[in-house]
Amino acid sequence: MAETTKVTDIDRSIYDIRNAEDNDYRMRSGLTPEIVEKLSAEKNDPEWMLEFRLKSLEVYNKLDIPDWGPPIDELDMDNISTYVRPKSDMKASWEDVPEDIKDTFERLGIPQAERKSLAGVGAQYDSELVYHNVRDEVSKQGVVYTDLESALRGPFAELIRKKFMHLVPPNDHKFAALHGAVWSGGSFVYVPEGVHLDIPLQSYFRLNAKGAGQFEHTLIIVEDNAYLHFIEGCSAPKYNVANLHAGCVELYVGKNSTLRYSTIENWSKNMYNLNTKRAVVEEGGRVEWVSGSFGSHTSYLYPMTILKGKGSSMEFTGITFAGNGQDLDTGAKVVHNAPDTSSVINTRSISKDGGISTYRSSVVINPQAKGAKASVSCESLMLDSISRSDTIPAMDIRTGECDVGHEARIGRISDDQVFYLMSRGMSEEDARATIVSGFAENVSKELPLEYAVEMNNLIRLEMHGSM
Amino acid sequence: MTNINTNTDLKINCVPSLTWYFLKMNDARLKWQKNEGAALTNAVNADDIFIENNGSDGYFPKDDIQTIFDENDYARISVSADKNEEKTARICFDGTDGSKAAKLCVNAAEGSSVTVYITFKGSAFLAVRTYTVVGKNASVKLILTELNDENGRLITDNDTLVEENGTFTVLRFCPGTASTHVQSRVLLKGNESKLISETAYLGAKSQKLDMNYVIAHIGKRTSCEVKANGALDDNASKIFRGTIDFRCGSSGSFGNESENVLLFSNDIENKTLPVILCDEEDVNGNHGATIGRISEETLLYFASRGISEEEAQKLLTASISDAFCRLTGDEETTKQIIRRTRGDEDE
Repeated sequence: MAETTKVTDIDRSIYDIRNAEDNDYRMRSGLTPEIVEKLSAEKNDPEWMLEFRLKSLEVYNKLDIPDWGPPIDELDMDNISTYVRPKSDMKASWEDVPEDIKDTFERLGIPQAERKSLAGVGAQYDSELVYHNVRDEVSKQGVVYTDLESALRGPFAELIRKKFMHLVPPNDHKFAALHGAVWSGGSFVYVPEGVHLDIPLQSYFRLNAKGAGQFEHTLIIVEDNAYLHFIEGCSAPKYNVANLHAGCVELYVGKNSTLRYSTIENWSKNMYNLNTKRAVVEEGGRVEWVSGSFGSHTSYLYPMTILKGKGSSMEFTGITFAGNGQDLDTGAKVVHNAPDTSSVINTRSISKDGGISTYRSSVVINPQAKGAKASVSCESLMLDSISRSDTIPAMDIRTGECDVGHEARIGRISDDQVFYLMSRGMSEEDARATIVSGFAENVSKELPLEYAVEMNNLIRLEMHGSM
Repeated sequence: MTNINTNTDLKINCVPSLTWYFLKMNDARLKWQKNEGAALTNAVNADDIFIENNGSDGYFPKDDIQTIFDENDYARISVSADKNEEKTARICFDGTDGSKAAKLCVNAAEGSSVTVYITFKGSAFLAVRTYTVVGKNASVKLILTELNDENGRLITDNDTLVEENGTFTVLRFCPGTASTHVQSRVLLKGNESKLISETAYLGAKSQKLDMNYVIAHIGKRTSCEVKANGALDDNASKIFRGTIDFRCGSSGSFGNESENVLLFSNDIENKTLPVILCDEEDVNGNHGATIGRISEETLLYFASRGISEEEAQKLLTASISDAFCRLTGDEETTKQIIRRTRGDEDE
């Protein structure tokens, strides 16, 4: 019998399993200098970091909440705990991770993925990393993949001090300042000159605590003539109160190096995802962003690339799927700051069941970027008349020696396409799901196979019962 | 009435959907001196049939444009056509002897057809606010030609309401002034109402052109086609904001925006903000933009015919105004444009 009822939420059974909150420590909710000092003491920060946190808090208190994006009025920092330490310190073996936490990551498939196809894995649970490991052969090449806090006290301390929140300064926006004040957890990756990592590294972020925030910081430095593929995954069980993710990613890509940064974000639908990601690319270098946004109640997410060196390039490939109760504002930013730089932005967004999807981008070509080329393509699909889809792309060009192309399209699934597939024996629901999967193919083909399968499964789950 | 101080900043050309402030595209700021615009004296068909509220209030963001009129006496001009009547008018807003402000009302009753040729002249500041009502099955065509001196300043603000099966066509030629601010907000309210908007512009020296087009699709099966083609040279700057807003219920509607910009100098500033807002499933919205230097293929084509890059640039610039002249199909407008862009000798 054909289904006629609407499914208002996806089957998130894997992601929605909650563990009982059995924390080692939970900071009281709110945001005050005392809380920041306490957090800094808990983290055993160096002195400069405490000062940095307190200055960031001052900046946070001075900046306004943005009025150009989705509403975030219901996010009340007085109800968010900024630090929750699980009952486990960081382990190098899954066997040593507490059973309930290990089970969570087992269900998410992280240890299996590590065995099959990853060079190293970091797993963060609430505010701390509980697992971190990197293959010996990778370590022997000089690659460093560790938690940021350990790295702050190790041989890379000075380098980190120089680079930390240098690309995303706290005064960039209110939630960058918040991150500067209360950041915790995250990874540090260093790829030495000439090292080409054939298999990816992955970080997975899991926020289990109710009414908490996750503020991990990812700092990746890829030296000259090197290659890295870094994968980031995130999820959380759903609660009836707001959770907050205000992470920060800073990527430094050396001369003639390539960094591929893939994200499948599947936060729960009570999550405010106010994440900031930024890369700077030196001469001949390249950054490739692959981004899938499926979860969250509200998202502000626009990975930014600064093309600093001559001939540097970026490519952003993204998909956003906004369902019931979601307001996802996503896109990309690029600044061309050097000659012969090039950028390609290619996005798809899908709105369904009252979901709101906004594509937002900016392409800035500065006067020194002679010979720059930029191409932007954004397509949006509306699956019903109660949803909404907006595209807000901006271009600011300051030199005549450049070539910029832009195209945007908003529409619905063509009846002809559905009819064609149905005439070949598909049900209408399958036909629509197939068309949406095809629409999303530009992203899925960029992902490692197992993630592409996961993404297509998510699309099928979202489409299931949508008739 | 808004009280303002002299030399205040007016916020105009506001977009309906904000984006990052660092881009400085959400609106335009205009230095405004109180009592800068005096009343136009040569009003055409002046009467007081003036529609202050043509039904578009509440659909578009508020700005400070009214302030200019609050602070000045201004002329009221109206062009109206009765049912099934055809009418043509030519209006010149002349700033040769000082700054001027005027409001123009164009009212086309059911089944009527109105064509208004509007020209702007002189080197002083001109501010013209136009209200247009396109009745059921009616057609209104506005052809706006800027013949201002290169150091002239101009603001035009146009609010239009289009009823069922009405067609509003607006053609605009901007050959470059010290500063031109253009706002055009069109409400496609009636089913199968239609907008055709074409803008041709040339910017050189340190001229500034600031455009804000907002098209709200309300009725079913409405359509809009918005095109802007231009060239920028020297230190010229231009911003094109174009918003196609498909409101809930505008099923079967279609909207298309396209922009082609030729860049001839490394000191230009070109900003583009093409927005599509979509609150209706059964619509089709598109935007395309091509911005940059003359392509290698085009240069090769010219070179193979003995034409240098500099000459090619002149030919391509001329082609923008020539295409606009053909579009208007009006001999007088063509003569005026040729005179403005190339001087009398080519007329």
